[in-house]
Amino acid sequence: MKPRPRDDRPWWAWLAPVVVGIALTGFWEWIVAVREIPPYIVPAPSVIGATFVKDHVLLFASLWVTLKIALVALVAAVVIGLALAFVFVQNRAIEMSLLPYAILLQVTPIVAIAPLIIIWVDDTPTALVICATIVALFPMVANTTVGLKSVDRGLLDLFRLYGANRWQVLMSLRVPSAAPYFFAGLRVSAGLALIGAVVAEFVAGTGGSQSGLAYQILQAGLQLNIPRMFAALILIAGAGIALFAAVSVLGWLTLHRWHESAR
Amino acid sequence: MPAPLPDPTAIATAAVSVRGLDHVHPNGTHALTGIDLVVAPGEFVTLIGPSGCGKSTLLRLIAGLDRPTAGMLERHAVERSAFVFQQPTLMPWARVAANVALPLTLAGRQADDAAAKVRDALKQVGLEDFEQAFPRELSGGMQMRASIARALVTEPDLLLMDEPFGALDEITRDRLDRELLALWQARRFTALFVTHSLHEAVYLSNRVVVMSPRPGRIAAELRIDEPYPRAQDFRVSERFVRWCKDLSGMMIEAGAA
Repeated sequence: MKPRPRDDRPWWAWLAPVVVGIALTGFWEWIVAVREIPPYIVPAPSVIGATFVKDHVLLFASLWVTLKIALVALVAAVVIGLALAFVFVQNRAIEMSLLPYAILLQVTPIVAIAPLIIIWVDDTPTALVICATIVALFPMVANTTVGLKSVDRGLLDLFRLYGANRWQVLMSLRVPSAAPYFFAGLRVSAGLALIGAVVAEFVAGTGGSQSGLAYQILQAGLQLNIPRMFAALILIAGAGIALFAAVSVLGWLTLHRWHESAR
Repeated sequence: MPAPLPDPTAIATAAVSVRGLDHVHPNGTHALTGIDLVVAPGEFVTLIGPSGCGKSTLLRLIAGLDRPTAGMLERHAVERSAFVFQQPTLMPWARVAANVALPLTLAGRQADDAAAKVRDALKQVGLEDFEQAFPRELSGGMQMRASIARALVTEPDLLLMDEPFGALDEITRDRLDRELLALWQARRFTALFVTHSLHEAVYLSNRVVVMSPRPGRIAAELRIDEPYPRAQDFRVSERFVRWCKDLSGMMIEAGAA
């Protein structure tokens, strides 16, 4: 009775990218050794690995700082984005008056606004969160608004026929209809929150105990500590993938029973 | 057993009465003009006509989904009406039971009371084993059955159906026609049915109302004087063919075919 989607990927599907990764890393190690490329130009993977082990306290502390900013910003973007989207679908006048500013915020590069925000807001972590939120906000607003509006006309008629009030239409019809759009937006926003946090850190250049991964990259660059730069870079990429995977799983758990996007 | 038919001209006892109704769509299309229609309680009336003759519009007006531009439209002794669309129009995120329960949930009914009614409605359409299924796990015919169960769950005294089986294959459509007729005989709600299938109209109805387009109006009426229950034999009988011929002739004369 319940048709299960067939998993027609071959057994080596997960193996192939792993083999490619190992091969590329091996080639990298080999070419650096053979050509005697100095580690301050391109460090060998083994050197980067050693740096990981040596600097792991510093690097993971910085990762946690950046990740915290990105996560807080993502939560803020979701909350503000949902609130704006809900207001937009309830009142067209408000949507018309506010949407241009949401777009303005979206198209202005965050590197250009970040210095201002860092000057205006004394507390640096707060300033960084604000920057990252601005970057992550738009997909939440835009996607959720489209989702809340993309309601089956027949179902809307049906709700009217059975005397549903505005609240019931919103919660029982618009919100579930918007869920696939929301999760598609969330995947984009999660990545953007991390990018926003890193970019804002670059602009702020904060050191001390609050230093995030972007600051480690800046410092490592100045000190020509290229292996540490690579290690920090790998951590940022890893954090981005983990964040993407986490929200993807969240979306799958919510949607896979009924929506084609999550089969 | 012949169906007891009240006199359809007796407006005082009518379930639905429409007088001089006109409707113009917001885009300026003159959808309906001079509609007079009286439907008796417990009657099965079918509206037939080509696309654009305003039959769906008339049904929506009677349902109260739109307001007529001019004319009188009254529903008497109709406490609960239900609508079945051409599409199953189920909520894809909700299980069959929750979909069928929707009219009760929206009215704020108690959950345990609703659950019994839902089970009963699903049983009537033969879907009692699919309470926990999601709509996409059902076939087109089963989805339509769920849609009918949702309409029946409120125990309506007026059931409005807008080409409910139009998107289904002929075999499924015939079976659902039979089941619908059995339900109507058991429950005796007033039924207003829209179709463009001549055979469906003859098989189901007490009375067929022929509509013609531009602007939509009632061109003719045919009373199908046949006893219920109408068995499968009736659909291949000579009498059935004669009714279809009569109806077809009326539709051609009305410029509706």
